Amino acid sequence: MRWITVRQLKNLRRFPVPPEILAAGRVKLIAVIEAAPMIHRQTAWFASAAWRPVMAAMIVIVAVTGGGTFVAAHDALPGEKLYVVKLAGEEFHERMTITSEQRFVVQAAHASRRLEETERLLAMQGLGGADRAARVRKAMARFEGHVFVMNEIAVKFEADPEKPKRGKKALKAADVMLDRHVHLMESATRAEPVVAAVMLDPMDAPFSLEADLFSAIPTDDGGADDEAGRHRLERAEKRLRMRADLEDRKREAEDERTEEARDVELLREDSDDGERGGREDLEEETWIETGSSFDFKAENPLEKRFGT
Amino acid sequence: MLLARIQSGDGTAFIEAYDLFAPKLYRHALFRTSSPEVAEDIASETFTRAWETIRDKAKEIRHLKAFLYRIADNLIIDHYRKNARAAIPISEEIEETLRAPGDPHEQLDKTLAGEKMAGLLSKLRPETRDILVMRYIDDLPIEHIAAAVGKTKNAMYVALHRAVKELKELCAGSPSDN
Repeated sequence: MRWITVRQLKNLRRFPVPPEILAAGRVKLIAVIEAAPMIHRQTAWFASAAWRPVMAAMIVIVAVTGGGTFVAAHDALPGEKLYVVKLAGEEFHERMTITSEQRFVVQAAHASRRLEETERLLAMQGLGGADRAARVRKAMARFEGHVFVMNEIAVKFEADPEKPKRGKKALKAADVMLDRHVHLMESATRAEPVVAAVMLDPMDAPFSLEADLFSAIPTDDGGADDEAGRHRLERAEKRLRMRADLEDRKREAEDERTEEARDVELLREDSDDGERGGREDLEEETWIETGSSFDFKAENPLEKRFGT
Repeated sequence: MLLARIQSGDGTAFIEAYDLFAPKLYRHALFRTSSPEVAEDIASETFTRAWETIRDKAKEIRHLKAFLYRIADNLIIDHYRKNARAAIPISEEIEETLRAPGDPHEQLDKTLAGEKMAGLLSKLRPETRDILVMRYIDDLPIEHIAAAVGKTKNAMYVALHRAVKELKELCAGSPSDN
């Protein structure tokens, strides 16, 4: 008997399985899953892989400095050496949070710190425009990150019908942050437009704080929400006006630079013309001196000198 | 990723995994135990045990297919121990197949061929049968089978060659259907 081959053995992969057996198993499994659904356990924060670099950094800093560095880093500003330590401490704090409420509060506190840093950077003496803009950019990029997380949490809160007030409170807190941000921008626009431009678009990404927050605004509620909505609209308009103002100022500055460059070019041309004119004048003078019967060869001073 | 969804506690994803792997595990158990009832129990129990493990140690599972086959293999070994190779003919499969949807003749042909093959496989030593089922029916890679039976990859190739030879010899001694 030669019918048995490996290929025939492989054909058993398609051996029909009675569907009622599979259906019965499926029903039994659904019952098992429903009777004992998976319990979401909070992984111990120190066991998470994402935690390890932060934990390692924290241990090294504490071991080397005895923890004093964290205290010293508290007032550090972007661009300063201890600022990294300050951020590591904040990240540690963010990861310590368990509930969404805790996460929201910590993110709001850190967003507030970024605004304070920006305030101090704007007031700091002796900083060049580019340096100030680069440092503010660092603080603002992080600020947007914090507000983004706050917004995400606020949206989740809003969607929870059991705690309707929680979402409104969270949005109000995010509003306070954005109001402070706009206020800072206004003062920066007056003082240093380059820095204000950085504050307006710190992340170079299609990410709009206003748009994200608007998505979370309830539209069918009355009273305070309408008022909050109007306030946000005003703030958005203010931002747009500032953006337009900055664009105008940028265009004006470019025009000024172009005009200045044109003036410089004209001056250079004038100067060249002057030099050429001087030589021509000199030659004319020579013509005058030598008269119309000028014999170049006889009167050439070089030839006269070297006797060529 | 199905495994990621399951690990996050998504019961629907685990049902999807059942739909995907249950027929394969049933065949795996059927050709190793030669018993439709035992195969049905093992396929079902595999998923129940898998869910219990996932509930407790979801993050420890790296490969869903390997995880399910390991559970099924352990159940088959338990079955061997309890029943000491009590091979049961699978002729009831024919009746089941006739009741199944689709072309009954085609289904029956497959079932008859399957029954014949299962009958032959059941005559082999369990170690030989397991290797053939895992390689040619379950389509598991050599490395996986070698790890499952505790052999090196080269030793696995040799064992597989001998298993095919043994099955051919067995076929040569059995009555032909042609």
